[in-house]
Amino acid sequence: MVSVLNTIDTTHEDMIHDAQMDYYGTKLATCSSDKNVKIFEVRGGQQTLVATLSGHDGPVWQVAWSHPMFGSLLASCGYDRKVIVWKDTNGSWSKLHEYSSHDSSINSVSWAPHELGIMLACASSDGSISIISTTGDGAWDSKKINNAHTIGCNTVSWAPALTPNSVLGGQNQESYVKRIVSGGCDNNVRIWRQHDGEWEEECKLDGHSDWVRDVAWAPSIGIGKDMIASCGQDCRVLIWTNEGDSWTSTTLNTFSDVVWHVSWSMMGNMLAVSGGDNKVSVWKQELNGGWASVSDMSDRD
Amino acid sequence: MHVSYTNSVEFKDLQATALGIDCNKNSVILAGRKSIAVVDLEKTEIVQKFVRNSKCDVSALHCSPFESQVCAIATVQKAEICELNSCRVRQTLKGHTRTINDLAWSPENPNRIATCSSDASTFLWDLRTNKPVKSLQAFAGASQVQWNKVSNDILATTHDGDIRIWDIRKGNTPVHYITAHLSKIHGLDWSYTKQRTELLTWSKDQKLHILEIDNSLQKTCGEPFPEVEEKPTECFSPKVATTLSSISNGVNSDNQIAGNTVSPTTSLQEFELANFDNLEHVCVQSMDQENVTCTVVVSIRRKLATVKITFPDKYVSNVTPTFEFMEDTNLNAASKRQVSEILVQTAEQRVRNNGLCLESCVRRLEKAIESLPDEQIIENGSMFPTYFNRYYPGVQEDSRVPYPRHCGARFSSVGLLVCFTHPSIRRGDEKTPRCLEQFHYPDLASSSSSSYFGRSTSPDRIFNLYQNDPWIMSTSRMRTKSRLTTEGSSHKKTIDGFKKTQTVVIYNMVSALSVNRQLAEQYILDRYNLPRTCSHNAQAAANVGRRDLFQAWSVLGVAVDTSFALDKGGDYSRWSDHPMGVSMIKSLLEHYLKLGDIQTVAMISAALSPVSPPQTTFQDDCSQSTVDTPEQHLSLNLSRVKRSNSLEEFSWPENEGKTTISEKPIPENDRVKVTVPGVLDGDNKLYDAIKLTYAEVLYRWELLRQRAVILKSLKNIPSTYMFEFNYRCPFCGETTRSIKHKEPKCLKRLLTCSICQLDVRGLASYCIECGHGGHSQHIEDWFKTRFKCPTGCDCECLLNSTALEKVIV
Repeated sequence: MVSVLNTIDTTHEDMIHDAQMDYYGTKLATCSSDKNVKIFEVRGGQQTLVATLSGHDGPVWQVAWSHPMFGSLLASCGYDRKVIVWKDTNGSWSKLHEYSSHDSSINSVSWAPHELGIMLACASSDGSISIISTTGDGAWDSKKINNAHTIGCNTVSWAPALTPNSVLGGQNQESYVKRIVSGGCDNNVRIWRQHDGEWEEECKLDGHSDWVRDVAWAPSIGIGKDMIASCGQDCRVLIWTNEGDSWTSTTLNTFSDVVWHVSWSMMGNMLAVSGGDNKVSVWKQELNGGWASVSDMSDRD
Repeated sequence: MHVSYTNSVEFKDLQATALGIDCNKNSVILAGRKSIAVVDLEKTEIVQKFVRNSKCDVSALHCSPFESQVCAIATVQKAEICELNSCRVRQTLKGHTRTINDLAWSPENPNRIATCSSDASTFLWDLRTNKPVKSLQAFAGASQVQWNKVSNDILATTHDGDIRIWDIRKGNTPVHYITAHLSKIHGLDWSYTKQRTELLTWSKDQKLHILEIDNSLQKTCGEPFPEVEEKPTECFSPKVATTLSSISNGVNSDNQIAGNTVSPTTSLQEFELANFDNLEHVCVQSMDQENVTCTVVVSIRRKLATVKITFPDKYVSNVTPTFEFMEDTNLNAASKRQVSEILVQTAEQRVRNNGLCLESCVRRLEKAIESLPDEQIIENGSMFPTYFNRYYPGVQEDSRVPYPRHCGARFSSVGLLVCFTHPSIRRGDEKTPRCLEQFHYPDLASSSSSSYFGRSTSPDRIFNLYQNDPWIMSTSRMRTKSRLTTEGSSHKKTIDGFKKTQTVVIYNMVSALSVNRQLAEQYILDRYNLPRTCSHNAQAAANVGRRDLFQAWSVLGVAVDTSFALDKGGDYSRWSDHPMGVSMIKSLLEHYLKLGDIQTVAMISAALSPVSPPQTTFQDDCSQSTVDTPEQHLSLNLSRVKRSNSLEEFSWPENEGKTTISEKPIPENDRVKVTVPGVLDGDNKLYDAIKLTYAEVLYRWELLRQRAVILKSLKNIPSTYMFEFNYRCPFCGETTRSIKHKEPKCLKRLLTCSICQLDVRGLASYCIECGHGGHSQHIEDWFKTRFKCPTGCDCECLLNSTALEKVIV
């Protein structure tokens, strides 16, 4: 069921913290404690290093690709309290924007759904979340949710722009709902919604008993259901579902070690989970609504 | 001191829990659960009473320093601004998540209030907007807040036994931490004087401290951006100017306060009161309270000194600690001697004055090392790095930064899973720590010599290393210089072993998904010939081994075939129109929806979606056109909804002509009524969403034709997929969406054929570049032999645009 497409030696000099492929699955971006971001072109089992982006002064925690309708944009964030947006113009990468208004390490960066334009959210250990956007004229606008999570904010993820109940309802940008979900050191998952230009908390999901390390809003395929996966220091992965007004949680599994990452497949029916024990597992929802592990990648080579 | 009651009154029914003095100084405000009352001090009677009848107690009260009979009260998680003369709550400040313990009105700014809460945050509110403008975060709950009486920008908060001083101009981190007491502080206030800034604290440990804040803070009161680092040795250290160990015998005796400074008597106190904030180049490696030793590392540029400070067993006033340089210090002998002399001198001086010794020694040490010339280092081949750029001071920060991930898995594009792991890190049964402060390479630490991390004593706490990044630098330096000692080569091995693990593996998980690329390529969708579509798709499904889909398509093929009709020419010309057939198709779709097979659902629902004449989109109110001929040429103002790189996204108009199954015009009577009433009509939104998701998959696979076919079957085509035409009225110049301007005065046709100069009705062709055009027939004839615009505008229409846009007007 699973085949290895590529094995890429990244030549990073320190540990890798994130690796993501672009929209078409042809470019790979990796980031590392060696302060660099590297871009690889991956086609047909072959890979070539396209660029090494150095601009961060500390470990780089996370990278994110934008939707291709804005060109090849890559956002990276790191310990040096910076978010850098990189742009590819015919193969040469340059810094498009640098955002540095946080007081502590920036742990997560996430692009908004392309319907909302060029917009990204980042979560910082100073407890706040920033939403940065541009209309493409070179000027960048930023909004900040202060004190989103006490002690620190670890992760942020966007909701799909089309809400299940109003698919295609929007004729213009304003009618799309802008929502993000965040997780932090206060053990909570919080959902924020933009209302009249201001970000306000929509609800708080209380279920974890330790720091929340990652949250991921499932892509909507129009089944009228919102799903969020969250994971954290308490070794658990929770699936939050909302089919009407309220969120309910089910525990996907309790793992043997801290869980760091949850990632949805494009159609929201599979979830990849990885954690501190170097194990990666893939989970699939069964017909009865339960979750089963379909694959364990941890010891494959 | 003699105390006598000048007056005494009882207000039993108030049940007040908080008191404040009104700004006019002749009345007090008492607030409680039931009511808030203003008591005139002259008349000693209640002059105003505001009945609250709340369930919650008032935890703090502060009167407005500007308005009489206005006070702010804190009840549980919110603060209220009450106007007592009109008996109303003017504003409610909500934002804290736990009880508000204290609040303070800014002495200078009537619109600013500070509230501090058990949720560890202190908010500064702007009363004009009712929102917090700043949030000051701590770790422990904040119990007291006080504004500096001289400077409007400085405030102090207490957190158990600690005091934090904040300068609101300087971000969200405190400008200073003071460990003032060992137990909770009950009271806090600033002095009024401008000459000396003092803080008064009273704590549960029954001690009253007067903390003198020296020059640097006073400077901040006058200067907007003070240089705190300017004099590190004297930098704002809270000198315990006076400590009264017992209030009972000390309070009213001035002599005692002035003459008797009680020194810290134990090393414990020495450790607890030591404050190493703002020391940019110093890392406290260990503080061993049992053996009374403290090890600090000072690293400035390439200079490195590790000093162990040992206090005598019973630390008493007159004995100084000893200082010892540890092995990895890379200073030469002369500078070591020089530094230790300075240290001993400082210690002696402090001890003589009964002051705190440790902190000043460390500060002095940093300064001494900094002032040493850079050349005075011995290159002893140590692993120690040349790179000491510590980005930011503040060890406390790393306790908030999550532990770095060394393993992860991300779904990308369609069904690709990008994985990276770090198998050399095995933690055994130990749980992974949560923050960066506890970061270490566990496996490497144990397998290689512990001197790998330079500081042999603390392999498990290398957060400082992480900040200094010596590890990373050392690896690159080792390789570039290739000056490897025997010790170095063993390290190199480890590094290489470590490097090998920096791989990313991409797995193909597509087969585990509910979409099949081969099917996506082979499926066809001809809504004018459904039986053929179904049989083709059934064959395609059989080819990839999907027997269930083969059957589904076959059944569907039978259902839409008119030759199997029940009553020919009647209402149910096909099985799929019959109520039984409808429910069969419905359950088929539901089944695949439940399986999450969006490919099948999207294809079937697209096949059954009603066929609409493709022209409808551009229909306008052309039926009522007048025959008047405007002289101007048609001026089309084409505007695309999305621009620039987004072109590929909207590729369907170009692809339309090349789709696998083009929509050939079919004679009207042959056209099948391809609607499944009742099946899809109610769920259009759902099926459209699924089609869109499937279209996205096709786009990622770069199967653009297939995507275009799917998008054409959408019930509601999102506006972003369309061109929008804007027309400029040639008479009034206004832009309008309508082909004919609605204004009565210029109710004329806007489209004129560039060739015959007559109004265009019916099929029209335009150049996207210049916007000129006219009757399709005329334009086509024109461009058979020419490629430039018929109006003579010099636009090379045929070269500039691949195809002329056709619209119906």
